[in-house]
Amino acid sequence: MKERKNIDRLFQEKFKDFEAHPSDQVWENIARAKAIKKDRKVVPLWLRLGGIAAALAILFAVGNTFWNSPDIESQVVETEIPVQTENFDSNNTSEDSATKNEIPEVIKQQPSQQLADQLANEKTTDPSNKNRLTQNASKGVNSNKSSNTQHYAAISQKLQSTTKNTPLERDQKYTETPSNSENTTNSTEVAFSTPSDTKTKKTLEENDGSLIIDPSQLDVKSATNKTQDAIAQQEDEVTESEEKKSLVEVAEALKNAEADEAITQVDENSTRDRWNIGAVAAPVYYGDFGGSGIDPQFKDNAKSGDVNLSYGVQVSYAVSNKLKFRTGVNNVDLSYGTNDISFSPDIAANKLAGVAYNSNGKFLSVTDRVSPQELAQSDFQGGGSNVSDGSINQRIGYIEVPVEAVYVISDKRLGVELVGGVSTLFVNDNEIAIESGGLRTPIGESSSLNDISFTTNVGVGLNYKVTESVLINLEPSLKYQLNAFDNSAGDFKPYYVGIYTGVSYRF
Amino acid sequence: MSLDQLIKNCKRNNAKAQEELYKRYASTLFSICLKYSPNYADAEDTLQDSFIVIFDKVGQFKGKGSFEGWLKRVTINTALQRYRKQSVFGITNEENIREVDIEVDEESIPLDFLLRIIQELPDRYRLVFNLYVLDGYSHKEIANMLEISEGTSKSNLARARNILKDKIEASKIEPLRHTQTR
Repeated sequence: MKERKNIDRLFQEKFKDFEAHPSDQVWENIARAKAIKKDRKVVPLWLRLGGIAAALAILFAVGNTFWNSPDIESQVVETEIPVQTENFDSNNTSEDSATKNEIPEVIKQQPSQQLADQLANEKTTDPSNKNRLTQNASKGVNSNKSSNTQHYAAISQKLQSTTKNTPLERDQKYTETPSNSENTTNSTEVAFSTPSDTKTKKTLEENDGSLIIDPSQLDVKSATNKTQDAIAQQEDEVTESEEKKSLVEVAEALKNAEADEAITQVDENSTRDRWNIGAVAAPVYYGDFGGSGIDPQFKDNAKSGDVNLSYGVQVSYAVSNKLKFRTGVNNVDLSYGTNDISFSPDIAANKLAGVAYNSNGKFLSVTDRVSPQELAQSDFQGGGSNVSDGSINQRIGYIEVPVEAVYVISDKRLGVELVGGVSTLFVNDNEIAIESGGLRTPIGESSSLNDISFTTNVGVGLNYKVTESVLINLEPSLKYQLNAFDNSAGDFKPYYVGIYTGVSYRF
Repeated sequence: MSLDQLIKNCKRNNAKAQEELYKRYASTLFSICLKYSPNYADAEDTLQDSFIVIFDKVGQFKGKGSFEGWLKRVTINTALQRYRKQSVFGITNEENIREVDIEVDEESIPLDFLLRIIQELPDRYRLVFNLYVLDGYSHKEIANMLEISEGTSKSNLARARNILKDKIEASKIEPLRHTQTR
């Protein structure tokens, strides 16, 4: 049947139900392309993880130098305290001490409450802060200035309160920070009243501000431009809270990642095998990249690392087939010997820089190996040799809490993984002893050991799947300690290497 | 598996779900590829590219509108990306733009033939004709998608119509040879 027809309609009608089957080759190509794409993703993801690890390491290293530098703090305090007492009347200082008392009370309530309550608390404390500010203002103190410090203190409180994992430090810091800021705010204001001081102070502060890289710093810095004060003392808080904050950020990032995953995790099939818990034990070797944890004079002495035991539990959560996050608790015992030392009984014994002596150790003079000539001399003087040779043994025990990312290279029967992350170390054992001729005499404990320190970890994990759920793990791992010792001893750079073995169960 | 479940699993990169999705929609989407591509082999390549994009971007499908509509749009876009940059045409006179009527014995024209003459159109004409006539986009939308002016879109359509008409009429004079799309 012929008819005159619009060409558009002709095509529309003909193609209305048009379907065509592609050849099977197409799906094979798609599957292959997907596989290639996955392989290509391997490198960037690992680079990204490596980048994160490197960034963390730098952050901690920077934080570490600030944490451990007593110089800055002491300078600030020494120059400013006298000014404060000269210029402020007794009323004001009593006012300050009153406000100091206020803050810790408010904050002490916080640890026991939920996060939401904490936030609410902070809000309710705001009015009292403002009251205080207006009091200050009425005494000729610029309210802008103090509001900045208050604001900052509030932020740092918030940050600290979110790190539930470190209740130890929190109390200390709460009581310290607010009082610091109160004192020094007043004193710097006085310092600025003399114009010549102001200029030098200002440039100093600007330099200080530029040293530290942190978004929150920018706020502080801009505040400096407006009000030109409060930095010197904020700096202390900042360096402290910076460490905290970086941890908080990491924790939050992990939490977010897990939360995101939890949302999409509805399907029964894919929820399987996400969790993995296990026990690990490892021989750990304690080594160092130079320095001494006991005294600068032992920096060049030969050290001999000992092999001790680390054991603990760990739990990991698989965000995807390729990526897991892992944490846990380990007990770590470490020890090492500083060789070639001499010691002798001495009433006025020289003290070693990094040792807090016990009653035994007080009368032992410990030095670098005495040369034969000196020995002969002392023989002559003392009328008998009482100098003995030996080694110093330092023993440290830690509770380690790692937070690590695990990248799965292969998840076959024999699995291969790359591990990177950080650990927080809490000291739970600390002893220094002298060993000589098979005898061991504790002389005290290390005074330069930080109670809390961090390590950066890298490792390669191997696992063998006995069944789909039970795995045997072997993981050589290097943990480099970032701030194990403060600078008062011999600039010690320790690390430890462990071969972690264990059994884990995934479900 | 319900469609919702299928989409959800595809978002999670589940290989089985992806294969299932392919099985369900390959023929529908392949028909689009055939219309927008110059030949069968190119159409298969376009289909392959489209599914790779679909698996990659399925997370962006938020359940607004039909899933099939979304799949079709992705496929059309993939085809456009392949062909829209390949040739540039001059501007046609406006007088060429008019309705084209044709006298046909509808039953006598096989679909294969119509598909072949669409595929034989120059790239831009083919895209514009498909978008406007078969997939119902306006000239304004087409101008946007192909990064050309509305006028160009209209003139391209007119030329496409004329070429198609000529070929259909020619086929009526010469007896139709058996056509194969592969």
